[in-house]
Amino acid sequence: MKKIGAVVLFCLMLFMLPSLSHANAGHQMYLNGISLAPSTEGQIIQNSTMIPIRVVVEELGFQVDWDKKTRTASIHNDKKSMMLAVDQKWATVDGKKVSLDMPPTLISDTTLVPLRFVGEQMGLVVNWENESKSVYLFTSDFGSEVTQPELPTTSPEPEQGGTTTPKDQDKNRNTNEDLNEADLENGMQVADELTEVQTVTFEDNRLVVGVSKDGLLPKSQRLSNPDRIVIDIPNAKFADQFFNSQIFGTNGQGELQVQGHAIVSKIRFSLFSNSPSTVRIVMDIKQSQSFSLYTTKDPNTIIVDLNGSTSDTGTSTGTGTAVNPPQSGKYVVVIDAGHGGSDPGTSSKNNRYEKDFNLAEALKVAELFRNDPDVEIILTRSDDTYVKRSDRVALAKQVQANLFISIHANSILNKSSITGTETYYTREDKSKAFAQVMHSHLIQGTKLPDRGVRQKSLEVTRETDMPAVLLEVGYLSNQSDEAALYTEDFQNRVAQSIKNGIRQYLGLQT
Amino acid sequence: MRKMTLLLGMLITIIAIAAGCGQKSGDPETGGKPEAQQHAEQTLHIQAYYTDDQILNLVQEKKDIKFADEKAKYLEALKALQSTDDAKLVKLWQENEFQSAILKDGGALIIDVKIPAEAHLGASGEDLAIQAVLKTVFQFEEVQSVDILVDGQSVDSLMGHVELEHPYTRKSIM
Repeated sequence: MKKIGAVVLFCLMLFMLPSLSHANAGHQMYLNGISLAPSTEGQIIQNSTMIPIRVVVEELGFQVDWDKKTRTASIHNDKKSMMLAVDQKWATVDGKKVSLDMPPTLISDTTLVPLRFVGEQMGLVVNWENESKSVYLFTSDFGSEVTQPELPTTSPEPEQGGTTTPKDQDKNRNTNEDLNEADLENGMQVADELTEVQTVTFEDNRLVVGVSKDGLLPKSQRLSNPDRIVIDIPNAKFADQFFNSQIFGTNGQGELQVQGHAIVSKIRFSLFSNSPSTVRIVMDIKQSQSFSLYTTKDPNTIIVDLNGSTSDTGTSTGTGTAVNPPQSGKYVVVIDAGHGGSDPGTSSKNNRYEKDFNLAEALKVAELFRNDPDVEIILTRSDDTYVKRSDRVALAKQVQANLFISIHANSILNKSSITGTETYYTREDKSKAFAQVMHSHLIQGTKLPDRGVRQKSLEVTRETDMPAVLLEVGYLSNQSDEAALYTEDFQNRVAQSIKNGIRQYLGLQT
Repeated sequence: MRKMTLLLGMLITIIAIAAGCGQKSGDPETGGKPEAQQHAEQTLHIQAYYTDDQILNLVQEKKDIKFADEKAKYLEALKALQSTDDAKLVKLWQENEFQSAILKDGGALIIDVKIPAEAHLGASGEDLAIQAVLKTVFQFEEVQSVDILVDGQSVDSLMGHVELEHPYTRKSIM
């Protein structure tokens, strides 16, 4: 135990080393990813990075007028102007007084000004990268463009143990908090009540952003050259856990590669602005693409949905992805393959997963409707991915589906004699009649015992607002049901019966 | 150098985890033993819940549970759901494991279950399985709320059809 204690102590000391050695050293600065001249190194005084005023002119490109008598610098560009005086703890920004955490200071004939304050007031995004002790500056028109800033070849990435140890991350966070506190004192940022961005994922043609709050008003815009969709989430920041994950590079930018997708190539995100704190997410797309932006509550998410687009872009997964909204004159039917990904549903004695049956069946239904003149099918998932039930519901509402059908298989392990087909609904007024129509067709398709139409409070049939049913096609715990469920013939019959049920309920010819 | 730091980092993490685990498994045992030795075994009549072969409704059956330590009665009651002599009844929890059921301050009962993949039920079965647990433990007046965890985790659903409430209150079974 003593030994381990010594090791831990040694370990902690290691973590402290880099910060010690950098305490008074200069810091490399990057503007829009390009390294600034070595002579522009800033230095930290009381937690604020200070830079020579000449750098503001030469490297950042702002105009500076220096009044020797009053030792006052007035900095301006075409939009903003500010005045700072040496040793004066406040500045004037566009005529308003703003207090400073660290006033400009004179050191051996060089006037130093607080970088973060000047940069942000002048519209730059200022990111402090603790690991390499570097400052990344971005002009506001840059965030939507960008590529990872080039890191210097001498990047000290490995030496500090990188992000592999929790201890080191803690240290990073503390330093970042220090910087934030400095911001607060400058009166520039309201740190409380920021929305935390917790996850960014892309599945089934939808960008899903997990956030800590509901009722957000994200802004979106579609830009071209190159084509991209830009989402800004105001008053937001990244959750620490997310920010410290591998997804984020050393420059504070996160990136998600989207493999083999017809439209989206990658998704990038960063803290785009510090005042107000804004998270920007950019989807790089291969061609112009319409989309819809909406939010869900419980769980709180922001969703950018490419499914509702009018241009058929023919994604690799095919069916159901390019769908016309109802105004096109077609009925919209959501087919929901139950479970998926990390949630396999139930499994059979022969180790077959329910999720696989559900997906195969859903794809077959979509295929049958591929050239249907009256009905568009939308799939909640078209491959083996996990989709939250609440997202399935949100999707159905978003596309204003006329009908919702969830496909499942049943199981009761200790009563393997039980066999047959069941149809569930929740809301009697909207769904009971639909359930009866669907069930009557379904049992003709399965040719299994009729176990009836049942009412149960199930999330997907209860929370949707259109007629909705959940089909328990057969029992995987029953030997003969299971054998049937995984045959092409059975799945084709069931798909056809589902199609017939849908068309009959919609009053179309079957 | 990098390897070393990494290694040390991992060491710390492992130590931290080990320390955490030790505490967790230690608590109930040390808390329970002394009292258990003093009490004689008690028998309690409770209602246990199963379903019919339609897997449509809950069916109740009287059961006796035995326990020496008062604190153990919730777990014993839940385990009653896993067996019945009536061949017509279908057991909703037979293949699953009740790992613990601990009553906290304010009548909050925390139940930890383990659910093997093959024991996942269909939509109706899942709903009934949750109801069976709630009805069983709410028989004890002191239980005011019930939180069902899976392997210690607060998950959104047991089997993927019905969302779990964290926690359930008595209103949930009305």
